[in-house]
Amino acid sequence: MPREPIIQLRDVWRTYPGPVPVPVLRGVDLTIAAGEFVAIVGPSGSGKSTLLNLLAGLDRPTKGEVWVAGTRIDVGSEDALTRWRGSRVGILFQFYHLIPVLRAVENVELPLLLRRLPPPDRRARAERALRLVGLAERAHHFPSELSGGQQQRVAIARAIVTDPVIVIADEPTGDLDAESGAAVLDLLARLAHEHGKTIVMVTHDPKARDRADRWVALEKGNVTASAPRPRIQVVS
Amino acid sequence: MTSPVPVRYAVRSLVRRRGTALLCVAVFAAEALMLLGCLGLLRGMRGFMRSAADPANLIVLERAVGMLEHSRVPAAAADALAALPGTVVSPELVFGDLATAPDGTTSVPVRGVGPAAEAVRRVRWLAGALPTHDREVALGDAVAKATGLDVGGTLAVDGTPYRVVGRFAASPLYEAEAWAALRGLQRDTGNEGLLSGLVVRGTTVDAALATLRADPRLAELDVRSEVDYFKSQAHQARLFALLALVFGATLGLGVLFGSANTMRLFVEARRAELATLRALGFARHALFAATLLQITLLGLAGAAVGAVGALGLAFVPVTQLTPGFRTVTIAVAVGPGEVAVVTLVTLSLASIAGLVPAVRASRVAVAEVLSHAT
Repeated sequence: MPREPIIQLRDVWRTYPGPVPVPVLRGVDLTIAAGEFVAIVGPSGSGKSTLLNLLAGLDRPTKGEVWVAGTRIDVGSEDALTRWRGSRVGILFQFYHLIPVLRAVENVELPLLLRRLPPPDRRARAERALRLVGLAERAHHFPSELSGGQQQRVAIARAIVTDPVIVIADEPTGDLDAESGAAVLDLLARLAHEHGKTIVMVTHDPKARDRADRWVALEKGNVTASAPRPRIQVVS
Repeated sequence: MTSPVPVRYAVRSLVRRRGTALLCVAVFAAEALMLLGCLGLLRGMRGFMRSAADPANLIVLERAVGMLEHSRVPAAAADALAALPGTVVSPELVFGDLATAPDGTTSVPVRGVGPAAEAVRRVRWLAGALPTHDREVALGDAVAKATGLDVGGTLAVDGTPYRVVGRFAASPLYEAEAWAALRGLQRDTGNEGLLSGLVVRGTTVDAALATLRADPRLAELDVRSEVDYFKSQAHQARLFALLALVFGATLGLGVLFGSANTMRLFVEARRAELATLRALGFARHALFAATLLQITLLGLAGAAVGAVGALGLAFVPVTQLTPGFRTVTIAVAVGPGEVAVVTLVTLSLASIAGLVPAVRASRVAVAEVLSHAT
């Protein structure tokens, strides 16, 4: 049964202003279904990160419409967009961007401060998210006391602790070794397939691309290809 | 409504970047210490003046001069006022720096007094008594301590050796003086028949003035209460207050720029963290408030350090700051009032200095910073 679309981009353009305006996205149309794990691939400068920023509500298109979970996010005030981002989107960065002065569990708790939850409930939800990513025993470590892979898993816990409708990941394995990268990809796949999260991931890594349900290729600001994950055929 | 950035994040960020934070605290502490020092000295000077004035005393001096050290009053004035019933008149001859301590460098003011001095000055004898013979002198306790002289020693008054016959405790102004027998001092200094002024007790300003006006020789004299006399002497304290204000304002400007720049560096160093908080959904005003909170905490810490330092100033006596530049000791008096004022000033400076960095923190370009920062 076809799944309901949760992300829709309609003729989205993004041009950076300047003496010579730079068009980065040129009329992108894209639909992503709820619970889908999608990889955005393409060469540097193709507009992948710009597309991700638009989906995360960190940037606005010059033209076009961006719809996420029934909300048009390219219009409205800055404050409204910030509130929307805090409640509906989980974001993962290549360099984790954990707050270095906060412990792992406090980092995970951060987005919950935006909700009126009693502190014990916040702590319980943060600990649950850490358990989900397999880092319950590292809850009270500072980021500097964790490996890169562990920091990225804490970042995943932080991204999902508010139960967002979509998780945006910008090169989440780009700074990790192969083993840690595989663990992070496993986790993202589980979030999509077992927990129904919609994952949109920008990556350069072919292995990461092949873990997604579908990949979308961008080139010079246009979607040039979209294909499901290649199936491995066992030849006997 | 969005939630504020947690205080523990704001505080721990300061601790983590303790070098920058300590620099900022040091800037605020220096400002607080300087202001507290100025205000404390001002308060000390006012207290010093107040302690010297006896509300029951009147001062008679030359109208055109306004200062005992420079005033000349004929002896006839003492006789005229002494005729008023119930009046005690203590004639005085005052020199700003007539005596020299044995170290040869410390100048000591000398006051020639008669037996009536004990009736008009609040003096407690620690050793010996008021000099009654020529070339005898009693030392205020501060002078005795500063010069190491005591009863039995010798003080050079205008080059003439005077024997120390007493040591007394009084208000700081008088403790910084040596008191000699009036007639001998008049003779030794070539001022026979002349006085600097009179201290009168037991009558009113009006009655004393009326008595003086009755004698044409005394028409140039003025009478005022001792309290008013010392108030008029306090103009130097007012001048000092003005200087302190100018100094404080200049220092404040320096503190503003210094702390604003330090906080700017602090914000620059945390751009990735601030962008992360924005990406997570914290509003601009939350980051603005968090940055302002941080600099306010630094200002508070600076004010506290400055206040502790100012307590130390209370043990540092400041000399030669009274009218006439006598060698006297004034304690820097820092009380809760001064600390409250300086804390308020420091927090205001911190808030103003934090405004621009706080705005920068709230306007961090999220997508740009996060895509580049490692």
